[in-house]
Amino acid sequence: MITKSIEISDNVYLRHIKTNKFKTNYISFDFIAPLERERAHLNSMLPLILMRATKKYPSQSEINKRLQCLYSGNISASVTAFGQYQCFGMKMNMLNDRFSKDVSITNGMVDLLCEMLFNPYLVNGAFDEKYTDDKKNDLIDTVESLKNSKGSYAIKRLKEEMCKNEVFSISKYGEIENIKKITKESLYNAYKEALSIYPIEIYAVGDMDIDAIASKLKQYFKSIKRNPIRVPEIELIKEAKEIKQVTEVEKINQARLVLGFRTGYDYKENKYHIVQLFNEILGGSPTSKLFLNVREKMSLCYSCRSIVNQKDGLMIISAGIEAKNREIAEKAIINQLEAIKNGNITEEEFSSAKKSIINGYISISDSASSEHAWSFYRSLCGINTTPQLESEKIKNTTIEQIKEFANRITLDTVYFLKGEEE
Amino acid sequence: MLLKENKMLGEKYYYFKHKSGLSVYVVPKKMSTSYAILATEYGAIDNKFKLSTDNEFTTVPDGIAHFLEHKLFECEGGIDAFELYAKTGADANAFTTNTNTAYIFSCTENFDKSLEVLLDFVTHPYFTESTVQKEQGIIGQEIKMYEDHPGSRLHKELLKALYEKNKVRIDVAGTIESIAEINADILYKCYNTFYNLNNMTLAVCGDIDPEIVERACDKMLKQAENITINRDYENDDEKPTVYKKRAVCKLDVAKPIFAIGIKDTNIPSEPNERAKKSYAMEILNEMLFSQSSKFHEELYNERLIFPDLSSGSEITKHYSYNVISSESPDPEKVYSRFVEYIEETKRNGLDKEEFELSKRTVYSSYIKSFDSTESIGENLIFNILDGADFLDALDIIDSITFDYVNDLLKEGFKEEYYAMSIVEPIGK
Repeated sequence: MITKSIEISDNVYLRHIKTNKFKTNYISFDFIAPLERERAHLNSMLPLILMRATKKYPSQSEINKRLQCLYSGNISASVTAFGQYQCFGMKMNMLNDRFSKDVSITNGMVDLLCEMLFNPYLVNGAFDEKYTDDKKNDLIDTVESLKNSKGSYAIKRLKEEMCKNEVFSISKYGEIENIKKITKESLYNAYKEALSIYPIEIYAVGDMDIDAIASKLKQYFKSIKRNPIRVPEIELIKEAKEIKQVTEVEKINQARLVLGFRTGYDYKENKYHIVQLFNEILGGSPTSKLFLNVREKMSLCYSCRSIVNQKDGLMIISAGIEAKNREIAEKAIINQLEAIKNGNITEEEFSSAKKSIINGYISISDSASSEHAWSFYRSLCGINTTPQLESEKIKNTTIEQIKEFANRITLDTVYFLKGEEE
Repeated sequence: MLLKENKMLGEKYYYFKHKSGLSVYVVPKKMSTSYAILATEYGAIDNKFKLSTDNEFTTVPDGIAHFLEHKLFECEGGIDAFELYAKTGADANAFTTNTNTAYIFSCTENFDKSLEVLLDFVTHPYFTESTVQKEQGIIGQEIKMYEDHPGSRLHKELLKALYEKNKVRIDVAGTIESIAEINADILYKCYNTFYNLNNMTLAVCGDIDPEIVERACDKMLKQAENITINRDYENDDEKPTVYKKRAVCKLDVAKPIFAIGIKDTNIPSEPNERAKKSYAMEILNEMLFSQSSKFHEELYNERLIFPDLSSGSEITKHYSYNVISSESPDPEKVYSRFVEYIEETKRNGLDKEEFELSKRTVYSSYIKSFDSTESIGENLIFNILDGADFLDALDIIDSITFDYVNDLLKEGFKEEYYAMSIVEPIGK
């Protein structure tokens, strides 16, 4: 959990999660932007172009040589969509200094991160043209390759259909037509703007000199004129009106059935533990209702699971099935949800679901990236809590509360992806 | 009980051979999550075998080791092992590879009870014709799911191109047809052969006292009969050269995906030598194909690869190969560039400074693997099952010389050892 928060600049925070459990240190840098169709492609491109070259290391191989020197320090671009937010930046993972025979690894990695963020490689006041084109192509390839994984592709298509007029249908990478329009100048402007207007969250997990990192960052931010925006709240659709049906055909072997629901849950209720517990019982584990009935009893599928998210009020159930079993599978899935709506949960199911969720919470402290994700995403919901506190809430949750929550859920859209000859 | 420690790493393990026949390793680690893995040396390649008491070899349908892994979860009385774990709060799973089957769980409380569940269900098989039939439907869907999975198809087809006879060609899950031949009798036959405790290893990692593990073994395990398993791999005359140069399949993907495989039949018989070769291959791959390599930079700049080249080698006592893969608009062009690049590098020799930096990378990724009880448990057990000791790796990596890696390049990279698998977009 966060042991120290330091304000680096206006709405720029460095959070330290101090622990000496690991042989590695973890540092993330995130811009917190609103997820917008007109901006998503530029934002998702920024980490890519910044990591491509810097003033000091003007080529990819020089950057990589530097990383190798730092005991193969790892830096990767990251972009995620979370409710109305698009978070983008870099994540770094490095060996702890005690395993270094010469250099200071953590210092070196922080320097490299700052170099990328504040001293990018520029040509005539904009990014390099060739580098910009390379990264545009990379991003387009990334978007096009999303269809290679049929399970997540089907979920993406469901969201696009179900949330046509909502922010949740916007791709975190942006759209291909927009990526194509990016220029070295428009990208540079987006970079300048990002440093100025977006709230920034920096997390450092591990055993390191946090004050030294803070003063380094402060030094760089001194020259940045900050004018941070507030990402506006959004209104969630709490209930589905009528059920939309979408069927698509692709050249695939296994059909994909995806059901999208409105849960009516608003994160401001601060009862996400109830949502998670409900999900665990329905389709979050190998003892869930979906797994035991749709898979084990009816032998209809190998994978069948439900997913929830604390920010968007959606629940998605997906299964890989034989196309001819579509109706029977859909009915079987709905029946499991109905069972929970009727309070049909055994004490045993209930207590194992609780144990499983608590097990997950307690494990958070064993992974630096999980520690980061726990605090980061909850802070975006304005929630400050610990796995221990949430575990207590789980213990005190009643079947009645789960039933009450389940009864708010309505089916919005059914998406079916099937093979050609079926 | 034997204690082995590596002071530089700050890691250690306890080992004992339990009287039941099971080999047990305990790695103490101050973490909230404890992890256990129980593995048998039995995988997809073990399809022809006999016990010393049998007259003839038995050949079994492809995919049976994986099928057996699924079926063991079902206990007598229709109870599922997952339900038993649910009571103790553990998160459980299992997987089958070409050479091994493993049952795992992780938990933050009730470790001893979860361990009892593990030792209990894996030692109590229960198969009937109706439960076997039901599983055929589920695994049938698993097979179909992987048929749509480009990475999985690419890899499977590559192995079938590299090898003519080696059983690494067999799909771990089998085929819809092969699993249709499986029945309860054959499952029992395989179980009774390969799930003998003398053929199995348990590794646990976490904030755990080795005595708790010993007590659970005492309570749950009966002494196993001493048996000798004869396995026939039917690959004595596998040639060092590849079986087919190309394997192409079509799927609904955005652009072609390729994997160049390099076959290696020069496998050291001594486990530490195998481990050394494996780390040395990692160093060589890093030098030749990582993002800092000239080859990567050139292909990327010409947009012949996307997004990055990835490389990896697999060395077991049964097979050894190296793979380089990525997406590309023109895999054949990448292939010919690859051949040229290797020949040029052989002529000019490797760079000593790059060798030192790449060695550093391998050293670092080894140390990084000690940050989770799961990766510690897995690394330990798969090293042990191949005969090596994962706590010796730092010394092994240290002993790798520039000349050793140079020789690997000269002897291991020849065109007759290369094959390429391609997944092409439908309609191309």
